[in-house]
This record gives sequence, C-alpha cells and structure tokens, in this order.
Amino acid sequence: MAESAGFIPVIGLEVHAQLLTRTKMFCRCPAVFGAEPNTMVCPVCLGLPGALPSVNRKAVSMAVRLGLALGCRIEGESVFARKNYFYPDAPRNYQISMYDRPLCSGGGLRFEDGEEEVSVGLERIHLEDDAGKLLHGRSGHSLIDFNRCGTPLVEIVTLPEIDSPRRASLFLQNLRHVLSYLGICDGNLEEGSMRVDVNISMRRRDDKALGTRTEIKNLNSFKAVEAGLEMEIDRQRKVLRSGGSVVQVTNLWDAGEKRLVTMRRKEQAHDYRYFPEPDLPTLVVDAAWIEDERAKIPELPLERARRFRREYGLSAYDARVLTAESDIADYFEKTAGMTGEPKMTANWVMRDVLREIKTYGGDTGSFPVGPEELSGLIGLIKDGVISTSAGTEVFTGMLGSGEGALEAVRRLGLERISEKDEIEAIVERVLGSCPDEVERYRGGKRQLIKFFVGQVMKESAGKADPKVATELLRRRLDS
Amino acid sequence: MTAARYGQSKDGAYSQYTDAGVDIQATNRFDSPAPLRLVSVEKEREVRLKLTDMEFGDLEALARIDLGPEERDRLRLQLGRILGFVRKLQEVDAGEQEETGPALTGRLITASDEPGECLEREEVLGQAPDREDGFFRVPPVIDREGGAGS
Amino acid sequence: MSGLAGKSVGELLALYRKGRASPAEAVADCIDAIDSRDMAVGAFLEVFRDEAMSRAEELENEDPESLPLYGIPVAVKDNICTRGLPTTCASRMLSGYRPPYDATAVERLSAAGAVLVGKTNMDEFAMGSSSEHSAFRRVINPWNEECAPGGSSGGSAAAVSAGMVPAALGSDTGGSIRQPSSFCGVTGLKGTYGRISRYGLVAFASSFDQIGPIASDAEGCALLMQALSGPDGKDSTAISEDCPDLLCALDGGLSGITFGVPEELGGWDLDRAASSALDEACRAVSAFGEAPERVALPGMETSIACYYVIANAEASSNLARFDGVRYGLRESSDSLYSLYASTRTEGFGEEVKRRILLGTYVLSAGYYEAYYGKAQSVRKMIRKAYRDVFSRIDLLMLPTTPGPAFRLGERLDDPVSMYLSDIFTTPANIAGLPAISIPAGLSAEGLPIGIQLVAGAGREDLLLRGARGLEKIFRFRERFVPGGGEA
Repeated sequence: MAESAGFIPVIGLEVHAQLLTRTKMFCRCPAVFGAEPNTMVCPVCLGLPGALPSVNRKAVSMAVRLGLALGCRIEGESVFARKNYFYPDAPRNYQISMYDRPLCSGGGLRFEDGEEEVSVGLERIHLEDDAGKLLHGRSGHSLIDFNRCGTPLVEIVTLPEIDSPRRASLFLQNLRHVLSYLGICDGNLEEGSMRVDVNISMRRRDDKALGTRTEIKNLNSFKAVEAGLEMEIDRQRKVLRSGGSVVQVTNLWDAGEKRLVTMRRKEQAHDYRYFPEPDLPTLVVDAAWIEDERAKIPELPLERARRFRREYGLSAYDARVLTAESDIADYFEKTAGMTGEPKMTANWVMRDVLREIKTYGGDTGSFPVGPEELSGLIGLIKDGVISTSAGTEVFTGMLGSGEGALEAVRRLGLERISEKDEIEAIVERVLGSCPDEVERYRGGKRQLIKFFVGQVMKESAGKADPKVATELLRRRLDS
Repeated sequence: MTAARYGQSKDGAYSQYTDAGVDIQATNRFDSPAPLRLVSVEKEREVRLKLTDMEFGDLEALARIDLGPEERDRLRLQLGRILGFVRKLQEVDAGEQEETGPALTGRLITASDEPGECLEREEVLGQAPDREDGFFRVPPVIDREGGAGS
Repeated sequence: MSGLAGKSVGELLALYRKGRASPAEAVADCIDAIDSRDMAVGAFLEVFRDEAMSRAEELENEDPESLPLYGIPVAVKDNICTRGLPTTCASRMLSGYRPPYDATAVERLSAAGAVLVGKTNMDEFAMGSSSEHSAFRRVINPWNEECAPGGSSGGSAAAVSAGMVPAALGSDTGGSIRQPSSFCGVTGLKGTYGRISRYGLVAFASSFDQIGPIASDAEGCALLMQALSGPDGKDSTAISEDCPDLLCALDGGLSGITFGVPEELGGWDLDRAASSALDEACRAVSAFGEAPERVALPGMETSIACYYVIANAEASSNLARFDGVRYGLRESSDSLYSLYASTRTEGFGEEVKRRILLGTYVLSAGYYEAYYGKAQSVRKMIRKAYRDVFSRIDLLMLPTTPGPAFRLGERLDDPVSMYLSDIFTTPANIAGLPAISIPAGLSAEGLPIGIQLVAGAGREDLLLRGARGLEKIFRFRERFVPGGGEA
C-alpha cells in the first residue's frame, strides 16, 4: 500500500453517533431499539402538520461533554438549521441539523498507532436527528418505520488529515472507545449506532492542493472502512496515473460483495437550501453548563492505558486489553488495589474474568465475582493457601455459588497441605514405592527430584505445597 | 479555516450580482446542480426577471411540483414579477449586522430527557395513504440519497 | 342584532352569570344562525353540532364564574388542529385529514370553558388575502356579497361579522387576522410573536405565524387572548412569561398614552374612508392628550418585500411535509419522485405553488445571499427601528388596510397587487409586535374600514387599553350592521 507515482491519499471522516438519551432529540418519545414498528412516535417525529421541535437538554449535555473531551471550542451560541431534501425516511422532508454555527469546532483525537502517537484534527461537532428506517416490503415496495426517527445524533467531522486507510480505521476505533468511556454512545458500526462516511482524494506528495474528493457510504465495520478505502485509493491512483481526472462521485459499500458501487450521478446533486431553523431560538451554552459537563469527563482511554503501564508496570498490550471497557478497567483497579499484585490481578482479569463475563451480560454489573471476591482468591494463592491450579477450580466454584474465596476453598476441600507431618508421611510413602529411582538419584541423577515432587503432588491430589515437599525430599534423599 | 456560510460555495465566492440589465451568474455551491443563469430584461420602468425554462424546471424539481405548460408559463412570469418587486431589498442599507440566527424570542429553553406520551399505532397508521402491516408503504426507494446519518 | 349568537363575549358571559341564558341555548342559537346564513357566506367548512351541544350540556354542571370563557361558542380556523375532527387548511391536500392531537390553543380554549362550534374557511394554507384561494369554496363578505371578506382568516372574520358566533380563532402571518377583521367590521388581535403557542397551528411562515382571537369588540379579544396565552414547553418560540393582565388594562382610558402615526402615510394614496377614519382617530386621541406624533419608520414596501422573501422561504420548507407518504392526499404512482410530484401538484392550489416556488428559489444555491440573506438583514434593521420608536411612543396608529374590501375576483390575476393589500399589516409581523384592528366606520359604499394599533413587544395591555378607548369613540357596533343600515 505504499504511495507510488507520488500520490498520497487524503482522507476525511464524517461520523454519526447515536446518543444514549432516554428520549429523542426534538420530542419526548422514548429512544429505544426493537419496539413494534411505528409505536414510538408522536406528532413531532412523524412530521404531522402543526408539530414543533423542542430540544433535549441531555443530548446537548452529551455533545458538550464530547466536545470537551476532544479539546474542541464549545460555542456559547449555536444555531440549528434546516437541511431540506425529499426522502421517505425524513417525515418533514427536512432534517434539523446545524450548519454554519455548530456547537463545537476545532479539537482533535489523539491515539496510538503502534509506538507512534497520532493526532487527527476535527473540523466540528454538531447535533441533529436521525431518520426513520426503510425496509423492503412484499412486491418490491419500500416500508417505513419511524421509531428511529428523531433519535439524537452527534455528527463529528474530521479535517482531511488522515493519510492511510489503517489510520482511518484506528481513528474510528479510538473514537468509539472515547464515546464508550463518556457513556454517550455504544459505537457499534454493525448495528448502526455509529455510522461513518469517508471522503478521499489524492494529492501529489509535494503539492498542498487537494484533488477531487469521492465519498464512500454504508461502511458497516472497521474492516470495511479499511477495505473500501484501499479499493478507492487504488482506483483513483489508476485513473490519475493514466492521465485522467477523478470525477466527484459517491460510492456505496456493498457489504455482501465487498465492493464499491457508484451511485447514479443524478441522485448525487443536492441543494439542501440550508437556513436557520425558525422554530428553535439560538442555543446558549454558558460557562456553568460547560463546567458541569467537564466535571463529568472520566479519565479517557489513552491516558488510562498509559497510567496503567506506568503505575502497574503492565505491558502496552495488557494495558490496552484492560482499558478496552471502562468498567473492566475499574474492576481491575479496584481488585489490584486490594491485592497489591497488579500483574497477577491483570492475568486473572484478562484470562478468567474476561472469558466468563460474556455469560453474564458482558459487563461487571451482574458478574458474581466482584473485586473483593477476586482479591480474596488472589490473596489465598499469594499466601500459598492454595495452588495456582486449584485457584482456577475455586474461581469456577465461586462463579456458580456466589461464595467468597475462602468458603469455596473449604467447600471444595482444596486447601494446600503444608503441615510438615502430613507431607512427611506422603514423602515416606513415595520414597518407599520407588526404590529404583531413589537409588538412581543417590547415584547422581539429581534431576529425579522433579519426579519425586511430581509423585508427592499426585499422592496429595495437588494439595501439597511443592516447596515444602521438595525440601523434605532432599533431606530424606541426601541423608 | 472559515466555516461555510449560507449560500456561499466552499471556496468563498459569492454570487456576482450587478444592476438590472446584466447577465447574472449564480455560483455553484458545493453539491448543487449546474449554475443557473438569470437574465433580466428591462421593460419600461418595471424590472422583470425572466427565468429560463430550464431554470424553472430545476425549481420545480427541487420543490417536487410538476406544472402543466400553461400553469408553468403563468407562474414563471408571475414569479419574475414578484422577484422584480422583492429586488427592492437590494437597495436597502441594512447597516451593521451581527451573525445570522433566528432571534425573535430570546434563547432556547431546552427540555428534560423524560419520556412523554406516544401516539397509538392506529392513530398513526389509520390515515396512512398506503400501509403494509405496521409500516407506511411507498413505491420502491432505489438509491440512497443524502440524508440523516448518511 | 338579536339572539345569543350575535352577543359579544362579555355580554354572553354576563348573561350566563346572571342565569339569564345557558350554554346550550347559545350554542343552539349559533347553529341556527349558521344554518340560515352560512349558505350565502361560506364561513364554515365543518360544523360540530353534536359535539358542541353535548359539551354545552356538560357545562351546565360547572359554575359560570369559575371558567373565564364559560360556554362561549368559538369557531376555529381550519389550520388549527382539532383532535379527531377535520383539519384541512382549506386544501385538497388535507381533505379528510383528522389530526390525532389538539393544538395547545384548542386545549386551552376548552379548559377555559369555551365550546368549539366548527372550523372556518380560509385561504389555502393561510396563503392569501381574500379567502378566495380555498380549495372548497370562497368566503363572501357579509357586508356585501360581491366583495371578499379578506384573508386568510376570512371565514373566522365573516363568522363573527355575520353574527354566527361571538368569537373565532384566526391566524396572522402578514395580516391574516387584522385585514379580514378590517374588511368585515370586527375586532382582530395578533399578539406579540410567541404570545400564543403555535403547537398545532399548521405552519405557514414559522417566524411570523401567530394564532389570535377575532371578536366583536376589544373585551372579547382580551378575554380570549388571556385564556390562550402563556408558556408552552412544546413550542420553543413561545414566550416564557405570562401575558400581562389584559382585563385590568382594558378600561385604563386614552389619556396618558402617547400615539404615533407613520409619517410615510402622507405619501400613500389612501381610500377616503381609510383617511377619514385615521383623522377621526387622531382627533379623538388629541382630545385626551397629545396629538399623535409623526414617526419615521422603514418603508412599508421594504417591509413587505422582506416579508415575502422570508415568509415564503419558510413556507416552502414547512410545506415539504405534504408528500402523500404518511397522511393526506396521495396520487398513486410507481416511482417515488412522481408520487411526490403528482401529489403536490394535485393537492396544492396555484397560490400555494407560487409561494413554494418563490420560497424555494430564494433559498437556492447562489441566490441565498441576495434574497434570503439580505431580507434577514433588512428584517433586523426594521425590528431595531421599531424598538427605537416604541421607546418613545406607546402605540402606533394607522389604517389596517389602504381601503375597504375589494371585489371578489378583482385581484386574483395580479399577485403583487394582492400582496400589497397587506402593506400596513406586515410590519407588525416582521417586528414580532402585537397589533389589533378595530372597526372605525363605513366607506361611502357601506363597507367597513378598520384602524390598527401596534404596541411594543409584550405590551398587549397598552394595546387593548388603546383599542377599548378608540372603540368607545367609534361606536361601530352600536351604529352599523352588515346588510346595510343602522343597528
């Protein structure tokens, strides 16, 4: 994918994210998924004659919070605008969006690409509402469900600063991560709670002038973004290299065939006739509101992962896995704080907790083993009360019963045997049953100690403390 | 970098607008169809603005209105006359202005995120011109035009 | 005029409170009046006989003192949503449409004890100044069957004027309450922009539209305005403070109020009736205090040009929702594009199409700055000029219309001349100011002519005080009735 013939891709992204509010952007219908069609609607989101919009304060709060988290300037006054176009999923045949006075401007997203820290600048963030859903009916008709219509969206527009498809995909993944940490969007491309349109042009390496842009819509996964961009870059490069010029088109990503389909030119020209929304006065966001939202911003993923590496000595990989979801990261930190063993805690969380948590709804809320319980378990292993392998069994036991670690250990009878007398007895039995090996050991094959330890462990069903067993064996064998 | 202003193409050019009697070229705003040409014709002391057939056709398309030939001629002339009348605005000195925005009634009062009542589905679909089960029905929608979230 | 239907709102309330009449009797009388007179007038598109009678009967159990509009039969313009009842905006596009919700104004009317009697005829989608642009039938002026009643609230004005109901609701975007009130010899009030919630008013021009009362006198308008006004969370442009107490203000008298008259009027060719009404008003006012001062204001022609650009731009967008998809008319088709185009071409009348095209044009790429952008700047300038004037005077006084009602059919072929009949009324919509038309006298041909008062933002109290004061001078209602002759 290296640049050749001196052309570099210039990529910009336009992301739409559905906000996790209870109600819609301009009316108080519930913003829910999966209801019976056309049951979550009212005169406003249906575009009935005489209906008027009223702005959801929580949506504004979330957008302000996002803007602050991304270092944007929050405009004290912003203006909603009508975007006029006819389409059956738009009940008013205009969308209420923002145009030349958006809520946030500037800012950017920083993220890591391997060792490198990358920053992609933003042009703006604004609020608007979602359209209804179109489906195919019998006999080829189109069917419309307006439940989704009116759901609050933030539109995030980047500067055309992304220089590779992989960076574009990384940007989106990191953006999703921030949205999730802020609790404002679950960022699922497949389900459509986050959508992205990309635009791409090619410029000559030494030339600042941008080439003609083409657009790609309907990309429904991070991989599709990368693949779609690769294809389009390839295509544009071929055109330019052969001396042709790129025509401004919009392409749709066909997820089934994994290819780009060009939209007919006629459908692409739009005169949206933007003008300020007369039904909504100027949106004023004052300093107090901004500070309220600023206080709600948690430690963001990039900073949190870095701190994990610093404070807990974790690897970059481990830090990334543990900070992928903020509630898992919280869980880890709580537990590590109690155990004092960050690396060990990390392993337990990444391996065992993450494996099992899917069965319990995917978040720590209803997970039976909480930080106290896990730290109890880790403590028992650390103190040698049980062996590491016994620990796994105990964990499973705790999941099923909801018990604390110690109770589970006792119930399962997994305490490690460390009483010297008990182990001595086992040592005698083992040595007694393997006289040949004893002779060979005394004859010089010192590595047989491992065999003897293994036998003691077998005899004790894994409960003997291997250190104590080793010491006792040596004493007996060497005497 | 300046944000786009209404009616302005992304590279900042305004429509060239000169006195009546001269060809007026509209700038191509990003995403808009080919430039419109407005020809003004002085008739006695009244300024009429005559839109060409093509322009009027584009206008009908934008508004999703399909006029018959007679209606079209009549409306085209009337529109020209009305535009001639409202062109007076060009001569008015509006003085210094702050940013545009709807500003008759103070600042926006936002609403709390508390669910309200929805309509019953029969109220919603009961008057639908065409429906299929719980959905509104329309002729097949082919290509995805520009719109919300896409 | 005898009979309960022809009483003023105040008179009817007094009769109820004295036990000398009942809501059922009043409603029955209205229905009789409608049945006998409306064939010739065409004010009503729907009459809700059964609903009105049963509501009236329910009210017998309520205390007349407890409800400010107890038992008052009211007609509502057909662009205001009435739940489960036809709301057509006098358009084929909404023929048969029944909204699933009530406009806030309708809810408040009912809550105040009023009885909804029917929906009135109008210019289609409130676009017009003559009520000749109704898709169903035109409205006739009760004073002269060859004349238009004005518009777009011609049905509401005619209904009150002909004594069919004591009060009606209209809507005013460029003068649509005041101009027909002037032509029909009744009192029509448009409040400050945002005074009455627009939720449920089918939008024409969002930043101009206001619902308002039409009644036979200022007191009737005050009573209705008081009941309808107030904040509404569903309308983000509604004023968040309550209306001042209008009933208290009514009888404040004319002295102590400063008046102004636009100096531009001197250059206008007013109908003799209009200019003599204005003269009489000025004389009356001078008797109570200072003579009205001549005030310089932005040109009315500028105002109306500004209005036509912005209002139609907003209208072109507001009317986009009428597309045959979810409600109303649908002209079946195989393709989506022609579904839209044929539905809208069939469903909209010519005036509506004209305005949609004009509005689309002024918003379109390349023309936005020259037309819409410029008009918005001009609007700001006009608003500021009026703010300055109202810091010096209390009330502006001028004729409501340049002359009395024009003949039916006279202005249909010339839209610009039709638009110019709104010339004195649109400034109040541009500036968002409250304004009222009160009947002043008759022209030589026996047609009513009105005088308009405009107040500063929020000053409906001053407005109604001035209106009441002038009303007592003109004594129109005592002196004249439609159909010629003295009362």
